[in-house]
Amino acid sequence: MKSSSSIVIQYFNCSSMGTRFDFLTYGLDEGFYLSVKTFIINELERIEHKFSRYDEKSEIFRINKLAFTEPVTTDSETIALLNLCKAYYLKTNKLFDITVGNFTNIKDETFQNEGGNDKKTSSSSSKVSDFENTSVLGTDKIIIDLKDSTVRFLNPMLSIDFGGIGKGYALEKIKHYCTENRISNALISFGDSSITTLGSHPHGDYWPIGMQHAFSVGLPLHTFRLNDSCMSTSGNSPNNRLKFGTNGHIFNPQTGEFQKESKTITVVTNSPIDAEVLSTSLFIAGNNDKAEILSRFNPIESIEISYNQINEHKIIDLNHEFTIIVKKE
Amino acid sequence: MLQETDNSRREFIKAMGLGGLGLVTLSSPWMSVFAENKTASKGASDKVRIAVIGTGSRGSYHLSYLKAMEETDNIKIVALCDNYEPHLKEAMKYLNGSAKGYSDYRKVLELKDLDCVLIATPLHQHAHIAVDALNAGKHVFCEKTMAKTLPECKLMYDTAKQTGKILQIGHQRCFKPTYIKAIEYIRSGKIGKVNQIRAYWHRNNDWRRPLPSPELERQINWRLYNEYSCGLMTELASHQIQVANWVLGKTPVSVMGTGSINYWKDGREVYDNVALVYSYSDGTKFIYDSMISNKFYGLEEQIMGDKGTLELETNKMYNENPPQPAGILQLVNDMEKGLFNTIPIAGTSWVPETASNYKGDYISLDDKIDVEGKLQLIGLINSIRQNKPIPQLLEQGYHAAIWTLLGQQAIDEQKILTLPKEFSI
Repeated sequence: MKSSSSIVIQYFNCSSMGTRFDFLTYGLDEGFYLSVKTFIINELERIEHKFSRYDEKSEIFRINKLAFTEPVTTDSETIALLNLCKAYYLKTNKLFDITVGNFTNIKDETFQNEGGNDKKTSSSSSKVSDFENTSVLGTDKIIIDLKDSTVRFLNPMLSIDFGGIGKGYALEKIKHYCTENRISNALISFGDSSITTLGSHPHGDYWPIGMQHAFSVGLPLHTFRLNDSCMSTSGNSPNNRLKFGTNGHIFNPQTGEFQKESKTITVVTNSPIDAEVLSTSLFIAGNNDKAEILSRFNPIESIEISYNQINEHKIIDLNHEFTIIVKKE
Repeated sequence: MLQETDNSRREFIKAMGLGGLGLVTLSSPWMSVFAENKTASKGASDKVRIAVIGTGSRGSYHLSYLKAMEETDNIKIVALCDNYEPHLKEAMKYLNGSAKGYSDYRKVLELKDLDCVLIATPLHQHAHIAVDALNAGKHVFCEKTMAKTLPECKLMYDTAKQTGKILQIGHQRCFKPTYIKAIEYIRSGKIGKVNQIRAYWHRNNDWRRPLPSPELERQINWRLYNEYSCGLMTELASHQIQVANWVLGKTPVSVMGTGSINYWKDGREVYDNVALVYSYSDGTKFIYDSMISNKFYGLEEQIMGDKGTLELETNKMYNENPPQPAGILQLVNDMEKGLFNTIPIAGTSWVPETASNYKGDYISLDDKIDVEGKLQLIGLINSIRQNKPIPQLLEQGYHAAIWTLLGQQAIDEQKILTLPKEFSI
């Protein structure tokens, strides 16, 4: 991509993990840029196929199928990610929980061969009524044996869903690759909700990323100044409602309910994984939990935007004792 | 509990990402059966009484939904019928004996407290059971393919029209959110003019079921014999022919094809591979093949327009020339012009409006919600309560059947075939 200035801007996008992935950088050697693009695309595909719970050939599908009946041997990357999730489970007062995925999906029973869709995975029965008792859930009920490199589940209702961390994990891998290969400046986005930056915009000292109003188009409500930092946004908006309905899509494992409030939480940290986990957890946390969780993560910035009506919103700085920055009516 | 009907309907509408059904019914008229936003009462007068004739694998599939709908939709399964006793016993056990069992469908049709029959028998039995049921004053849901011969299909169609009873054929993709959304995209011109459709269905198995004894070969493995089935065409292809017709909004003008048994040489009579070309009036082709000795490619319908492509089974769409997303585009433009402005790109999540030229985008974000199997039955029950057939749905089933069977005939006779006049409707 050529520009009228001396900067060569390089950008591509692709679909990954159910959303759009963008990679924007500038000034790289063209051959090198192509190798970066190839690596990123392959890595996204690798991670998606390895950790997708819907892909019958994925590692997670295999573990979900077998881990209650027997300890399942798996590789070091999967073990490391599971251990990380267990740490996050405790760090977020159990609000970040990779075992809630099955609860939030209601699927049909096994397809018949005749007239059915051969490409669908046959999934275990997951009717909501089976999970009325949410105490069966919990990342602490996934047992990892580091010595044997095995995973097992303590009850048959458990299943691993990396949906709440997958994008952050992929961004972490890509950020690491870029850093190792001395890419100084880049903006890497997963669906506009998880954004990782390296360096800065070519004409400034940071990447100026504006937070859109969730329910209307207009000037950004808040600007984040990202330089070698990562942001993640969780919340409810018309986009989510299109997909998930008014019930919201972020599940609170403590209450057993989806969080329906019209609000968003955006956090800025140094780690894409931290950002994704933290934004989701803060979205469903009560104020006491919020304060505790924030003290453990110490994000660079954390903002809550709540909407009472389309024309009324409130921006709260969670890092500074929940100070209201803006209340617009 | 009765609320669940509305929840399913609402869930379906949400899954399609629609604010309402208005636009959908233009391209998929049968969806108007969900337009009435009225929960069924619990009263006896609203109760729909249904019998399932044919309780083998497909019948059991429907039974699982119907059993749940007894709780939520004020229906009652009053009878089960199968001339193969093990299937009947299993089905009765599944319903804990709450329905009466029969081995002769004619006894079922004599029941006064019966509104509708669901026919999931082998293909060769569809026509006479459906016609008898319609003439006995019962509404009918019949599994696809409608019938085994063209005259049988026409007879079923005419009997439904003459009796005024509802006849619905089990093409469940008509109720699948991804497909309905795809049709909307097509009608709105999103992929331009559709110039070719390609579809296939590949499996790798011998299609045989275990036999309790050898004498039951033809009864259990009916799909392998010409007396009872047309094999791949009627068991698989008919779904995809219905989709092709729906996409194009018309039926073919001719078909040619070929088929053989090149792998499963085990005494079966039906082909284990078929390949056909259907031609439409404007020159558009529907190219189809099916085989059961390799499953690598699975199944798919590829809708190819001059502006984009849809892959319906995998829920993907691809633009021929994908535009860049607005926020990033603005950022790139600013960078090119030396501007340093805040770009409002951060948000909760991104809904695919633009396509990537790499891996495509999703037609529907909720493809994993499998609602069509249940929704086609809810539609049936709604139409019975509304006492009117679902618009255009029978015609979808009829045309799919006619052109499936013409395809089979084209293969058998090695000729290019057109529609005989007597089967026009």
